Amino acid sequence: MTRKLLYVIGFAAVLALPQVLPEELNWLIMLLDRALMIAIVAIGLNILTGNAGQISLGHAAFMGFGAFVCYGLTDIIGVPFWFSVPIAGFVAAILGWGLGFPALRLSGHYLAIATLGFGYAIPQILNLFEGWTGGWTGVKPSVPTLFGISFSSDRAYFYLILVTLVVLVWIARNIQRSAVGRAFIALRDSEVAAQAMGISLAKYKTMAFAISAFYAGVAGGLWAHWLNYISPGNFGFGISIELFTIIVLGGLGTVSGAIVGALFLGLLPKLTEIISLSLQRSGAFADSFFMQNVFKNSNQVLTGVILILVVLYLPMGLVDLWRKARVWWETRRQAAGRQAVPRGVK
Amino acid sequence: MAILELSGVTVRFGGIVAVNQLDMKVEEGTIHGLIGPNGAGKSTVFNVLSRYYEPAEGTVTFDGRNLLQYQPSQVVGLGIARTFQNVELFRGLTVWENLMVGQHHNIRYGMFAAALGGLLPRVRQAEQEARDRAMEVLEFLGIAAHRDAYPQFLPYGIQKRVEFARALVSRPRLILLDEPAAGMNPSETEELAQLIKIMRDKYETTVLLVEHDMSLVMSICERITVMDFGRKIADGTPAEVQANPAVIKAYLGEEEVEAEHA
Repeated sequence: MTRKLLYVIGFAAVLALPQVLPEELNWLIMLLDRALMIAIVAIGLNILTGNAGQISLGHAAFMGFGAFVCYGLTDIIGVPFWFSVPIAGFVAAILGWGLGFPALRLSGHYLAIATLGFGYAIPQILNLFEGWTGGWTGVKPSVPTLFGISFSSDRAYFYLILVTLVVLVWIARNIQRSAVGRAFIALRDSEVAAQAMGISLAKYKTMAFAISAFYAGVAGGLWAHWLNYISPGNFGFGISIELFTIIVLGGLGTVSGAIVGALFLGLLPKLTEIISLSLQRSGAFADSFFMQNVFKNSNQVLTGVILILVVLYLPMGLVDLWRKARVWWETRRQAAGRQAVPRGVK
Repeated sequence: MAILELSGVTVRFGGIVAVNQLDMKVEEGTIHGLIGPNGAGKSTVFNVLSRYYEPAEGTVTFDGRNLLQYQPSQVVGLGIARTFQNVELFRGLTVWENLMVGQHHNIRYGMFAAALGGLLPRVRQAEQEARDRAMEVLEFLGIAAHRDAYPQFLPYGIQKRVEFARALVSRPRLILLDEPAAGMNPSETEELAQLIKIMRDKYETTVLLVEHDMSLVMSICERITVMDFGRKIADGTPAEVQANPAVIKAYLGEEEVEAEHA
C-alpha cells in the first residue's frame, strides 16, 4: 500500500520535473534526456549480457543503425515519426538477429572481440550509403511533431522518451518473467543443461541479440530526432563501452540496474565538475599553482575514483545498495525488538 | 517392450574408442542400471542419448523413433529427461524457476507473447499450469519449502532432489540419472533408492541410471548392463550379473593370476 503510494508520488515527481526546473537547469534536462535514451539501450543490452550472458561491445552500432533507419523513414520516405521509431527497432532487431548467428560459435572474450568488430564495421558500412546517411558529414533529422505538438525542446522531448521508456521497461519485465527470460538465464548458467531442457541455443542466443538490438534501434530513432544531427561516426566504441559500463555499474541482469546505471553515469561527470569548480572558486590554496591544477583536474579523477569504489564495494551493482539498505534496516529493527520485548515482559 | 534400444553403437574420440559396438535394450517401466569401472564409457552412452555426442556407428531407437535424427534440445520433447553427474542447476533461477525451465518444451508461447506477458490470457494460463505442476512435483519430492531458494545455497542432497524434480516435471517416459548417489552417505543413498522406486511407480516412467554405488544398483535395478573398456561384458538381473565371472574380473582384477606370481 505505502509502496504503491511511493511509486505514484515518485512518478508524479518525474512527470512534473520538466515543468518545475528553472531555466538555469536546462543542462540537467538535456542530460536526463540523454541518460534515459541510453537507459533504453542499456535495458536491452542487459537482457543480452546480464540475462543471456552474451557480451556485446558493439552495441552503439545497433543504435546508430536504428537512428539512420528512423531518419530515412521519417525524413526521406515520409513515414510518420511515431510509426518509424518502432519500425527502426524492428529493422535493428533483424540486423541483431542476423549478427547473432556468427556469434553462436563464439563465447566470452572471443565474442567480445567479434562484437567489437561489428561495432566498427557497421558505422563504416553506413558511411558508404552517402545518399541515405550523408557519410561522415552526417544528416539532420527533423524535429518530430505529434498531435500538433512540436518536440523541439529537451523538456518536451523528455515526455516522449519517458513514455517509450515506460513501455519498454514493461516489455523487458514481461520477457524476464516469461519462459523466454528463464531460457536466457538457463543458457547463461549451463548450456549443457539448458539444451537438455529443450532450449535451442541457436534460437535463444539469436533471439537475445534481436531483442537487445530492438531496444537499441528504438533508442537510436529517438536519439536521431532529439539531437537533430547524426553521423555514422557518432555511434562508435565510446558509447558501446559506456553502455557496458552502465549495466555492470547499475547491476547485471536487472531493468532497474540499467536505468540507475545510465542515470548515474550520465550525471556523475556533471556532479564532479560542479565539485571541481567549487573547489577552484573556494579560494583554498589560491597561491599554490600545484593545488589549483589539482582542483582543475579533480573532476576526472573523482569520476574515476567513484567508479572504482562502486565496482569494489557494490560488485552486484548500484541496485544492490537498495537491498543492502533494506537488510540493514531489518536487522536494526529486529535488534531493537529483541531488546525491547524482554524488558517489557520481565 | 523395449522403450530404448541401442545396437552396434560405437563412439570414437580421435583414435580412442570410448564405446565399442554396444547393444542394449531398456524395457519400458524398468529401473535399468548401467555400471562399469571408471572409463568404461557409461557417461559417453548418456551423452549419446542426450545427443551431445555423435556415434560413429550404430543406431539408437527410442519409442520406435530414430533418436539420432534429433537435436539435443529436441530430446526432452520426445520424452527423455536427465540429471547430471555434477548437479547442473541454473544458479540464477530459484528452485521453482528451475522447474519452470524443466517444462520449457511444454510452455508454448513465443517471443511476442512473452513481451506482452500477463496481458495475454494464454500466457497467464500456460504459466499457471506450469507453476502448479512444478509445485506438485516439489511437494512429491518433499522440497516445496525450498521453492524460492537459489539452488547453490541448498545442501547438496537437496540440490540433487531439485535436479530430480526438474527432470520429472517434464513428464518424461525415460529418465536418465547420471550417478545419482555420487557424494551421498549410506543413509542418504538408502533414501535415494526409495525415492527412485516411488518416482518410477508414481510417474510411470522408465529409469536408466549410471552408478558407481553397488548397493544402490543391486537394491533397486531390475536389469543391469555392465561395461568395461567401452564394451558390454554382461547383461541381466542383479543376481546374474553378480555371479558373472567377467564382471568379477572387471571389478576386482585377475586375482588368481596375481596370486600365482606372488
